[in-house]
Amino acid sequence: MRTNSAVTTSHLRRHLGTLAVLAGALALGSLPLLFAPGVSATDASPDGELVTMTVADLLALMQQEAAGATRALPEGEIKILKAVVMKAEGSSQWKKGRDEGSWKNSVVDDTLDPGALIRTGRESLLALRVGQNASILVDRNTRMELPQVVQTGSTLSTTVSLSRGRADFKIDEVGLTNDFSVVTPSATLAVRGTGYVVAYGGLEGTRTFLARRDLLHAVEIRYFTTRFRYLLEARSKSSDTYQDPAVFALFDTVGPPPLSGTLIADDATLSLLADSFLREAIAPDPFIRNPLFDLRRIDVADQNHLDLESRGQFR
Amino acid sequence: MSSRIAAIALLSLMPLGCAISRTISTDSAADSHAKKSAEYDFWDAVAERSTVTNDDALQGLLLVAGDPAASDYTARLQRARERGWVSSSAELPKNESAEVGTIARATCEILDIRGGLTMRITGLTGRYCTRELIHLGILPPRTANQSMSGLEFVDLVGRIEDRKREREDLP
Repeated sequence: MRTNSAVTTSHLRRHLGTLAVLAGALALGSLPLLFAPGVSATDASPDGELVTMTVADLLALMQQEAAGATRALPEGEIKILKAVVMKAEGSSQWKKGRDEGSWKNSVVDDTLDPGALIRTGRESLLALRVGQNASILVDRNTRMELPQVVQTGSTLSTTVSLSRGRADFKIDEVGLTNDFSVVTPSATLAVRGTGYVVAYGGLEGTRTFLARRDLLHAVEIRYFTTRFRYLLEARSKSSDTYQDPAVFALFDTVGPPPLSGTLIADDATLSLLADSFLREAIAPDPFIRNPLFDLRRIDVADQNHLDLESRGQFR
Repeated sequence: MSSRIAAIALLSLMPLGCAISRTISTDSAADSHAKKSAEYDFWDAVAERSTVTNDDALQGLLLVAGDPAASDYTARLQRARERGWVSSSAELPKNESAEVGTIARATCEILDIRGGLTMRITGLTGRYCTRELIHLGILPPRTANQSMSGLEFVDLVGRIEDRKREREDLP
């Protein structure tokens, strides 16, 4: 499929720092499309609001950029990495260091430098993307510190100090060597690439068990999908059977709607889909009637619900 | 013969002496961090204490139970009596170390743990609530008269929250 696509860049530029931190998440495998607009915006539109390029070019650029983000550094060079807040539920705070700054309420997109202290309250949850290779879910009543988040040569070194509470860690393989360790008052745990939970409390000391990888994955996907806005312009052409690139992208991404369950039982949804397919079939160029498609949010985390907020063909 | 009787009498009195002396702190974390806005600082201060006092235990448990923050210890104790955590005749000095039994009793009430046959007959008592929490894996092996450190209490509060969350997640 070759399609011209236009991507808004004003919003994306604000997140370029975040993108650099998070590019390693490409190794997750499930997020490639989400990085594409950011990459194209960086390279092709230093001053304009829109970038036009083929999807194939976009993907190639994205892969190139992602590979570059996780490249080994020259000998002796050190790169200080950051952490970014992906989700903040309940009450949680962070501050720059033990002796600097004051406690600040956590909000999504906050970036934390190495040395930052984190604390969560009761019934709270804080999700962080740390450096290029790790995601952390900080659970309730936790006190944590990030003393080290750094890349040295081909090694990503991260140290997390857990004073009390509980946190889920997921460390991804991004093509570099992972040196990830969690320090509690009674133990030090090191890991190369996996996921686990570390809990430390007064009753039983340090405990480890399986991480909630699905929850972490869902948080990552939700975070990335709400970062970007995709616009497909009227001049777009496709060599695919489905001339409408939005429909193609939708079905290519989330697949057709389920044949059973809540969606099919909904008459309104059925007629909506039937109507859209009919228009697709008879219209020589659907963009004549729908010049702008705005797929604002496709919740790919849960395919069964097909949570879609779109304009145009699916209105 | 008389020395033997004296030794036996002394030995029998020793456990009694141990049982009635409890640690008394000079103050409680709840004194300076009673407000809702100071909750982070309250938990941080509690976690650093070697023993959790009755005042801190009641403040923490009332917070977990979702009870409105009480302004002073008298109000907290009154609320605890209303909820059945403390019997009306029991004296709980403010800065005395809290008993595991008292904390366990409150925990069972918060989590609506009914227990087994004995607990259903006797109601919420420190002894059987402690045993029930040990059985459920919420507490490690303890006796009802023991004290708790601040870090242990904060850990227990986390477990109470986990248990509450698990119950809410059930269909």
